[in-house]
Amino acid sequence: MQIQTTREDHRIAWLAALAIAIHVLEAALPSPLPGVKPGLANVITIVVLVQFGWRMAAWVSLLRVLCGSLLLGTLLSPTFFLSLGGALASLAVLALAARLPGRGFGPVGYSLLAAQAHMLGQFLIAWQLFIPHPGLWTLLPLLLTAALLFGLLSGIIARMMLQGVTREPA
Amino acid sequence: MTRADWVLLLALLVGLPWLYLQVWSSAPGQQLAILTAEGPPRILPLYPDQEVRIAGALGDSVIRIEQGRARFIASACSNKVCIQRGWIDASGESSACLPNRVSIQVLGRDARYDAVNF
Repeated sequence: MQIQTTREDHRIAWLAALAIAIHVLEAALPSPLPGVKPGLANVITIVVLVQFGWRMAAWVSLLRVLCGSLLLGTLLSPTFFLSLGGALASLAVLALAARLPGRGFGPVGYSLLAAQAHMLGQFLIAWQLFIPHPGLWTLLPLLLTAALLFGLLSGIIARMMLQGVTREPA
Repeated sequence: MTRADWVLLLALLVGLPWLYLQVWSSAPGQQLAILTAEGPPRILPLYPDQEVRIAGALGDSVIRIEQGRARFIASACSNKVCIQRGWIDASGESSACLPNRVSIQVLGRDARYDAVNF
């Protein structure tokens, strides 16, 4: 039996593989605070969103979370749920942002929004499931500030990438 | 960078400091709980000003509530640690007279301290 794959499927697989590689490499970086890391794999999500639309970005992002956790051995662990919650929150926000009329957001705006939503999503999951203590809120401004800096960084990288790649004819 | 990008970045640069102020400024207390060895705790508002006389194990403790803060001003104990504690006003702060078995704690939306250890 052979599964028929489309050109789009291959594209999703390639881009997800790229995101997974970044995700795994980044896991080797030490983190000053739980939940804080550059999130450079999201550069791929933003590039895909701008080039190919939200649906493909969602595929790439969720495949990255799933396969990344399989490779790192964190599937179904707290880390995985935080990661998944963050990814779902940023995808939800990106779905709304992509509908904005006019010129709307560029890669930097998308990345900033996604980073804030990702942090907020994983923060709420951490608060609901793992540490339901009001003291956790004290960390929120710090975490969102980190998300602002890393979101900006990822957005700038995504913008440079988008300027570098030209879309090949389908 | 599109116009929406700039607006978003500006909103975040304004919004985050605001969030720091909101989360990191300690909430003033709203109520005072008075706990004694016998009987249920008494909850009093921190406004308006008043003085309360509480019967403890040794005798009476007098607690003054003034402008949203509270303190012991007299107690039937020998060392007066409770009086020297002075005013308490931050949510979660407390003062206790152990010999007389009376303690007070400021209650608020969320406690500034979980526990204080000496």
